[in-house]
Amino acid sequence: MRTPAGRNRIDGVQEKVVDLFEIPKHALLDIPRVVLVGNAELVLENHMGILEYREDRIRVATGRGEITVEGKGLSIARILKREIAIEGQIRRLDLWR
Amino acid sequence: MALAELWSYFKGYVIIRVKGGTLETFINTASARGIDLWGITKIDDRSLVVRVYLRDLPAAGRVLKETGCGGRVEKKVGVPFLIMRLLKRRGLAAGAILFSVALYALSSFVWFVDVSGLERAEPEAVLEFMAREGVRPGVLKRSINPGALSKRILAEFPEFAWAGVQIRGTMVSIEIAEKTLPEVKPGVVDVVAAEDALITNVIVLSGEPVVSEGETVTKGQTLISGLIMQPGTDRPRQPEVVNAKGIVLGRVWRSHQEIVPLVRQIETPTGRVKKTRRVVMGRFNFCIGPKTPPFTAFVRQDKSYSLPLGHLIKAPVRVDEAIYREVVRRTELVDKEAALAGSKEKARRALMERLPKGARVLDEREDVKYSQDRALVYTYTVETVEDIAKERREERELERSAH
Repeated sequence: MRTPAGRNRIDGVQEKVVDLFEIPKHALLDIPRVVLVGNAELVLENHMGILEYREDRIRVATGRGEITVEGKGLSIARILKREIAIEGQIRRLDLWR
Repeated sequence: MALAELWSYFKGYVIIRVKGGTLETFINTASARGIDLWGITKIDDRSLVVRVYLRDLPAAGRVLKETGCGGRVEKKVGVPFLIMRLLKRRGLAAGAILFSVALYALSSFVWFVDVSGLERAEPEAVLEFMAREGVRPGVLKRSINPGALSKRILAEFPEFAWAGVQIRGTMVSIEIAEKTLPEVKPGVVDVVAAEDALITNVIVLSGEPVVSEGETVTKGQTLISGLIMQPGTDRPRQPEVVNAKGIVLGRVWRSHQEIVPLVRQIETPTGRVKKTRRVVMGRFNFCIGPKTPPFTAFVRQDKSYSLPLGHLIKAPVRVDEAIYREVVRRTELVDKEAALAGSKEKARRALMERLPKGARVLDEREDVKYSQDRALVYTYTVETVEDIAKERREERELERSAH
């Protein structure tokens, strides 16, 4: 996962530790993990809240920036503390806009 | 996922319609506090529907208040709500509990006692004994000990070989197997030969054998006597009158004869026909036509005519007619092989029908002889080993013992 230039100051030590023990990055750091099932469901782990919720666009804040899902008839299938699932006809996915 | 839905149904959840304020803030705040939200659907720009577990409902209410949203419960779904509703309808709940209690209470009593497997003894006697032992409709099932009970039944009724007591629901079912006692016939029962035979094996079950292996016996001869003799004397011991029983194996020969004619008479009509009529009027009668047969070889056909006057009145005049048709007789030789084959098959079938059940065929023989009158005599003989023992009862013990 590429890291935007602005986030480089994130604890280099922590990231090195994670690399050393081969721990999945998203488990320890606030790096979001996106799973897209076809174009009907998107599961996003390590989110930091919804910025906008409309039927044609949902914007979600993450530790690395903002993720935008665009489509038709979008709904939030579930939202838990660390996980959000979006269902609907997904047409476009923008990362770190 | 169906499983997740089932789980949430058990936990119970509410569908809330959220209005006004910033909806995103409500969602974010709720999820940040660990309130699980699902099935979020936007209704319009300013309202949405969201599902919340019953457990999280107070917390969700607080979040609504804090974020300045209005919320209204649309629907309550799940088991906890069902229970709550049921508790409100006390009558129904009480009825359900009463029903279960009544069912349990009534099913712990014996309602029926059933006796099966009896052939000779009366079931009433067993039922009466059971009632005395405290097994009758109306007693508690718990008070019955099936194992001890079956032992007591056997002690009470010596004619039973086995008794099983089982509790099936509200029924006590008693299964009984009776002893089969050998039937003792009155008088002397001897075993006699069913056929002429050469004895090969004598197995005595009861009685005194009077023939031995290798002996030839004729039909009806006594094989095992029902009177047991005292050793050394010819006198039967007084009490020893038994029903003789045993298996006597012997060789039995059976044969069947078929006569196979070698010639066949063939009659061919020549076409010449003569008729003779006799008119009968009471005692008086006269003849029209030849009185004696007009041909040397002929086939005669008789007919009788009378006036149809019914059954009551006898007709006064009757005409008897004889028709003679001349024939030529000639003898023809029969296909010997075919005729013999047919007779063989016939003889074999006839003999097999006469064989008793269980007879084992040892040997088959066939014999063909010429007889004087232009025919063959075919003899088919079968040698078998079979049980020739047959029981014969006689009322003679008193005369014998009087000797």
